[in-house]
Amino acid sequence: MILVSPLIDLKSKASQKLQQIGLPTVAHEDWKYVADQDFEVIKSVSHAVQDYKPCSLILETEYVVVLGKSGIDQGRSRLPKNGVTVEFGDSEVNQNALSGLTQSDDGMVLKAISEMTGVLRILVNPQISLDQPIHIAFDESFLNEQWIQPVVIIELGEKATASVVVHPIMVAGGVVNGLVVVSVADHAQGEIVALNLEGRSAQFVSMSYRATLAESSQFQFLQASHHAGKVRSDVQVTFTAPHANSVLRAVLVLDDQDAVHLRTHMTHLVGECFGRQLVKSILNGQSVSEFHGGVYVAKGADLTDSSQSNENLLLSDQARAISRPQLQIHADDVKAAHGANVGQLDDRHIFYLMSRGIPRAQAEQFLLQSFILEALDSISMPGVKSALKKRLMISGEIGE
Amino acid sequence: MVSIQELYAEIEGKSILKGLSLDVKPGEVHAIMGPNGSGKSTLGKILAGHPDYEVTSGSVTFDGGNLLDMDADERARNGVFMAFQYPVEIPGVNNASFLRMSYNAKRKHLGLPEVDPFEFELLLQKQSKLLKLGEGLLDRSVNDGFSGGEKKRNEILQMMLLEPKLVILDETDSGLDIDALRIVAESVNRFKSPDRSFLVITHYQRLLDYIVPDVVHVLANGKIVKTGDHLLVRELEERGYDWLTGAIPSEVGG
Ligand SMILES: Nc1ncnc2c1ncn2[C@@H]1O[C@H](COP(=O)(O)OP(=O)(O)OP(=O)(O)O)[C@@H](O)[C@H]1O
Ligand SMILES: [Mg+2]
Repeated sequence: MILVSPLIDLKSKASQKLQQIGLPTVAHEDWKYVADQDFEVIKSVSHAVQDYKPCSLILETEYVVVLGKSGIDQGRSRLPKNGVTVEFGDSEVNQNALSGLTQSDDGMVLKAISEMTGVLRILVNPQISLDQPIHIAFDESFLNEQWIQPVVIIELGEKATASVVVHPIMVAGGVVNGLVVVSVADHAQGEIVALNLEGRSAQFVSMSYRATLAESSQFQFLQASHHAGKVRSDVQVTFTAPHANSVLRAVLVLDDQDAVHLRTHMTHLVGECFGRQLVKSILNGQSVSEFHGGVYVAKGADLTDSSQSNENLLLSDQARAISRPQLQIHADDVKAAHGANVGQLDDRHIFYLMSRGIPRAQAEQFLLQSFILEALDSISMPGVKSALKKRLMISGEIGE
Repeated sequence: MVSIQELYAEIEGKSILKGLSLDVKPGEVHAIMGPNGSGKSTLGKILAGHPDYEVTSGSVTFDGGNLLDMDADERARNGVFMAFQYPVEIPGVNNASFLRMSYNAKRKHLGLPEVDPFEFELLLQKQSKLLKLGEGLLDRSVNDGFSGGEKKRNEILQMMLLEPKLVILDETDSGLDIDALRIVAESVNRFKSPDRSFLVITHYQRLLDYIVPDVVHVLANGKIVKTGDHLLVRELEERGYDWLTGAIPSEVGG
């Protein structure tokens, strides 16, 4: 890949800023995996075969973009034809989408930009409604890398509709640091399902999502974490025009040493937008879920309706859930709320189900399944929905 | 059907049932009345297998077996059903899915295959119509945000689906409007059979005008203090409980 000037320029700007602020450490946030380790000296990158099979989630009729280190693996991809551009490389548009982020105050984002070798760009033309989701999967060419840092730009034109599934990157011993930039034009509707699965053999997985919403647009995001390993997800939505609507959901089913650090943030620059951050976790073993949810409402962004909720079920004594909601409101007429709770399954609920003949184990499993069902049901893609339900709801952690 | 002998039970160290005995034969309807806090719901929940109550002595025989040996779910599958005074709300748990799971648990116990979801849907619709239970309630979370009367009707719906042998109705009439009371009572009356028994806990005569009991008991301070026929209901309605509990009636005026 020969780099042309727009990318070089972006990279050097991001790199300068990165030198100033560095990668996030415990001084910035409770995320500790960067600070704890010196990644430059990690030598043993093993390439264990993973038990994640993306194909089981992808239906025959759905689109697939298989991304390798140096571009799209055309042979294994199944690209949409009409009204959608899928390309790897660089262009003016990339520069527009990424230039703001070169001044990000997040070292992970800066690092991804400063070291990118190209950008996967998915552009859905105005008025185009994709009938099938697009899956973004990553091939084996990343396996020799220590840092795997894909950068993806998804742009939906006016009134376009598309759903995208971001599959995990399977690398034992490596560090994943992905960046996905989304822009949703007027009246467009975007949906992203971020699969955060089988990350345990990686050093850690960091994924940053940045979405910008135009007038009357919609953006729905769901992260599903399972066998997640050490994860940092940072999802930020910016409302730039009124009547936009965004719901960010996360379903974390964690066990053993899984530790998911989830940051979601909604920035309301203008009023009359609707935002929800809904995070549910089921925690077993010594797993940890840490939720930082933020709402920022700018001065004058009246009639904003933005709230967050974080519910955690602890199934073991050693699991932990930490919740840090934050509301910063500078407008007057705003509906904003946050709620968080941590607890166990309710004995009264279990007894009620048992008193109707349902055995205890089944009752408990049913309660856990119901806990995450609403979130999974929100997925519009039937294939992904049913595969995730199967995986998360009938998994060992949830019972049977 | 069920035979309770000298039952003593406590919760958190507080003794509630103090030597209660009761014998209900197949096909009989027994009413249980008594002052607030006397232990009526406790008795029902102990029969249903609520784990918070500890039986310290006495026995309960159900259908020839030892009821107290069974967990709540096993009792339910074997035919014990309690319509609760305060049905618990379970947010996020779909009512129809819950009802189907419960129905299937019973079918499995009977050695029958799982019900076809579509057939079950039809069955639910039919039964809810009989109870004038809005169909919207089936798609909602179990009892979540249901009105008092809707909760009680949802309990009766479960009773009809599970076809129990021993039905305990704990103040099912409270919270029901006049029409709903009649509808529920009619459902219960239709549901009566020679091999099914009822324990009807209530404070009011009105329900017992519809569901006429064979035997009426007064439970006070953890024991049955009086047993009679349905005429006892009217007497209680007129005289209250003080003459049975030995309490001195409060002076009126001064
Ligand atoms: N968890 C508990 N801890 C302590 N006391 C309890 C508990 N549950 C019930 N009790 C007590 O047991 C006694 C009997 O309660 P119960 O609910 O059986 O009464 P009841 O006869 O059904 O009354 P009501 O007519 O008001 O429904 C009451 O004094 C009540 O406060
Ligand atoms: Mg009671």
